Amino acid sequence: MARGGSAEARERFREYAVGAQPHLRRSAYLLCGDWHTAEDLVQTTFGRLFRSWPKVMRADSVDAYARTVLFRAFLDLKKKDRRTVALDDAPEPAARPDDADLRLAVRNALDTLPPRARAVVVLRYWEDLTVEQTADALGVSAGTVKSQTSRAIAMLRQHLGSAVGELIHD
Amino acid sequence: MRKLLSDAIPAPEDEPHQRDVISAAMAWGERRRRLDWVLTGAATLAVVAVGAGVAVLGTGSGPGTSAASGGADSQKTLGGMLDSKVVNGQPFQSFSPTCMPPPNLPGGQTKKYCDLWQEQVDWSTEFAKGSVPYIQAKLPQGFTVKAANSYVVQLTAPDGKTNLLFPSAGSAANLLGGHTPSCAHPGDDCTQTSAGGGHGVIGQYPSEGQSAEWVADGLKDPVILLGVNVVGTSDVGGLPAPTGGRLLSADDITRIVSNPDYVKYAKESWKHEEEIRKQLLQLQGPSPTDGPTGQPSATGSGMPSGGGTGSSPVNWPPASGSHS
Repeated sequence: MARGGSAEARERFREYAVGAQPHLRRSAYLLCGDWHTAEDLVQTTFGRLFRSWPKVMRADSVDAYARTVLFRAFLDLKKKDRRTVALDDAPEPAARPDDADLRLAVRNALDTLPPRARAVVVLRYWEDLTVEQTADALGVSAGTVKSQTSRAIAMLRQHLGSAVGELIHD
Repeated sequence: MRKLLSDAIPAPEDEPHQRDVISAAMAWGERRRRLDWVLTGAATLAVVAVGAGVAVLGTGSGPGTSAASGGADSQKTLGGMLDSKVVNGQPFQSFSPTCMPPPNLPGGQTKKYCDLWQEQVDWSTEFAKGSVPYIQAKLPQGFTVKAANSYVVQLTAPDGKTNLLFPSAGSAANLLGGHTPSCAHPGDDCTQTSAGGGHGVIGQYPSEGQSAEWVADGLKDPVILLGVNVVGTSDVGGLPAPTGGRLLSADDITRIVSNPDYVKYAKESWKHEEEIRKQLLQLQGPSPTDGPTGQPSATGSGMPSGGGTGSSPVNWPPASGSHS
């Protein structure tokens, strides 16, 4: 095992981070919707990973560890910026966007989700985690994940319109 | 649904260039880890065992020593504290971590928490900067020491060669576990000193560098720590890599760390740090994010991870299902 504080361990960390960065960055982008914040989140994640790297690198799955840190960092960030949009305040359902507008529409729809619901959506449908795995990553119960998922799906359907909404399967 | 999310992300070729977050994160993580270990005493054995080829002195686990990091690991981690190859040739980037207060703070306490948190984050830098006049006062003639906005200061010899110094302090109870500092095998690589009403050791660590600790008799005052990085290690903390071999002798270092004025400064500074930590813990209350499984605390970036909380992420078994 490489030493936690050794040059070898640092190289292992750098090697891991270089490989993990693109995926984490994209996940972070889905969570926050802008690249700058996404990179801040990834940097925060890497900082925390490296801080505990001697221990982290002994974990069964560094990827899972990193994912948990990233998603919790996102939720922490959002706790500072409690701008949740109540369902009643949501904009009118959009007409089915054409492909060119789809990206923006999806991002806008994601922006309307409360942070935890957004995290649940990304973990479940982007990271392909099960309900239980999602619950573990976020430190909440499986029931909470299910209810957040249902709520998020409903909000996405409303925002994206029924046509695109059909793409969403609960 | 996954396709929908994929559609929300620009194609890879359209993504903006990735900035180098890794070097900055490593610099921050290293700094925090260094502070963690100094604060929690997890480096107890390591600090006692400064010097090359030091056998673990058998003091047992310090208060912050996790089961997963026995004596050997502790010694390794001290290397992490002092070895400067943090940025590994990459330009240093400053990285200001964000205060992330516990979610259940009473109203109006968030600012207080974050002010304290920032003060604690800055403590090691402030200590280093404040150490400069005391170090300068005991340097051989012609040597100078320069502060930076960093936990590292730069030592320059009359010929222009440089070393990087890491001044710090920590709890004697945590770091020494009731033992007076001593070398396992006194010799060229580890020197024991008795000076200024206390005891110290100056050892070789890391690489060809030096690491010193000194504590006043009675072991009630904080331990003064001084690491020295020499040529062969890279830049750290925004300061360029050292260009000289060992510029200071063991006697020089002893004079620095046992300087009564420096000891007084360290004592006051450490007391202040302890007060900050105490207030943070009071505000934080029971750890809100460390679940029963010991999962990593994403909100804990500003807090020492030890202090007997047992929140070591090493115990966390990732649930499963890493992404493919």
